[in-house]
Amino acid sequence: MSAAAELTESLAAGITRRIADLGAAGSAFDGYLGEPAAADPAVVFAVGVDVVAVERIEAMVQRQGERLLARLLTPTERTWCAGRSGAHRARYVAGRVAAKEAVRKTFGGQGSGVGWREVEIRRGAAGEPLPVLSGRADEAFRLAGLRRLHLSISHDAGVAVAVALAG
Amino acid sequence: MHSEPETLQQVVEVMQQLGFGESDLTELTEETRIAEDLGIDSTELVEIVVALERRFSISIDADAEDAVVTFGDLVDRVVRLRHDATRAVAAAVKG
Repeated sequence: MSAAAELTESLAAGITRRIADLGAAGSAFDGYLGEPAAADPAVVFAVGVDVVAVERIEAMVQRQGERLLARLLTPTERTWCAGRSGAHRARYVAGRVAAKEAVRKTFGGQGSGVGWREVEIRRGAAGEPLPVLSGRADEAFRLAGLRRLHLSISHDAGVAVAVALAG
Repeated sequence: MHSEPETLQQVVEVMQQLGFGESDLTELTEETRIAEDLGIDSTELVEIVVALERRFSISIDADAEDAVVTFGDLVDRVVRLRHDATRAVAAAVKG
């Protein structure tokens, strides 16, 4: 298992544990992992986290070029990616890849078979990442009983990390 | 093992060139699972698929990529697409 994969698992376990602790403590967050989202629109029903090493993505893009980007990113995402320098582009792509994986993980078992380009990461008015689902991703989201999806992406220490919360 | 050993060997070579499981690949079977047995993650699988496309001049669509679970799935996909390409060329020459 790669260092990034180990970090991903560790982060996921930590976040899940913290949410469970909040519920166990009987705080205002009680029931975070309890009833499905339909019972309370504020309930977080699923969490997804993913970590991607920027250097690994940069090496992949150098080896495989635009063809690799065309499989991972939507045309719109590629437009935003165009013209960036190698390192800057790698950071951007790593963030998108982490975000797409994090979103897929919130679908649980329904996420199998969801394609990279069926989760598009756009930017909101304040620069926040906005996941837009299509095709099997949209279907998986509905089948998982989810109605809301929130996403955050961060970069540091050579990795991109994304956390998705769904309810 | 697979009915097209030459293609199978070339798939192995592509994977080795990308640095995947230099020793593990010698014990591959059709049932070997890409993720669980070889530790290849979804991003790495994308690179393998793109490298196979370039090596064999084929195009593996995204739906097919998502259906790849085992090494046999991967080789089957390449074999089928190579046959399709060969038939298309033969038909073009004939027609």
